[in-house]
Amino acid sequence: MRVGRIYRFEASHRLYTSALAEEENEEVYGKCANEGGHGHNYELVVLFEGEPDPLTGMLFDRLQVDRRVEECLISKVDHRHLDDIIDEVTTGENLALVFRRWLEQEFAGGPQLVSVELVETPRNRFVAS
Amino acid sequence: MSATSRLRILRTVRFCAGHRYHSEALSEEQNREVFGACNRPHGHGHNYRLEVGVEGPVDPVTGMVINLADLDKLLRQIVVEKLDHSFLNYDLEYFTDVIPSCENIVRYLWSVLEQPIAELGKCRLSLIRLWESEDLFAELEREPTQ
Repeated sequence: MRVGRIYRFEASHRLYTSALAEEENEEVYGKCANEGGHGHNYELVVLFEGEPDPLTGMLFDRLQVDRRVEECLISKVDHRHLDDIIDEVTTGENLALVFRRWLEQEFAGGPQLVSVELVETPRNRFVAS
Repeated sequence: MSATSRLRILRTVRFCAGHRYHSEALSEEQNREVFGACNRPHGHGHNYRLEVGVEGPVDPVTGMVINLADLDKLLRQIVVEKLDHSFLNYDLEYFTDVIPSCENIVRYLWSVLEQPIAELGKCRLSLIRLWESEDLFAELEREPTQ
């Protein structure tokens, strides 16, 4: 049995790396490299796996998990500039991997994390499993 | 990919139902503590969205895994007519001693849909994903056969 919980946050970022020249950044990242950055309404699908507790009928306590995700992740990124927080280029790929790492650490003692999917826009989804 | 490749199709149906989280094994106070607002005596409800995955070989003549009209009829009879505008705790015997959590409704739906779908042909039920709201879903998926 798997249970997915969806969280939302709003943040800005800019796709840019100092390893490349200005011109190369523009070439690789296009308008995503615009100097002032831009933002998204991100969605995060956190997927857990296991057997529901026979007493409560639930795989996990929603409110408790919500609180933990809020503390270890959402509060750190909501209404922030992601490049200030994350050392790597803030592509959907890297963000999904970083968030998966954070959540893995937070839920090391359970419930069992299966995957983290970052939805940047309805057209761009990144799954770290 | 060959003509006999297995393929999964997903069909979505919706139903609105009420439920309450309450366990006889717990005291009134413990119920309130564990289930919070979900334990309020008269329950609450959701607009459920159910995704049903059916897999099987693509019929070389019809080009279909399953006739969607047959699947729709089955989903209407087994899911919508039974669950839509019901109060799950009282209206479904299955939930007499089982809390109708999203997880347990998924188990119930699997148990009532598996056999009738298998009887429709060479296909079989492969996924039940139930969205309780835009923020929560539970799912059961058939293990891939070796």
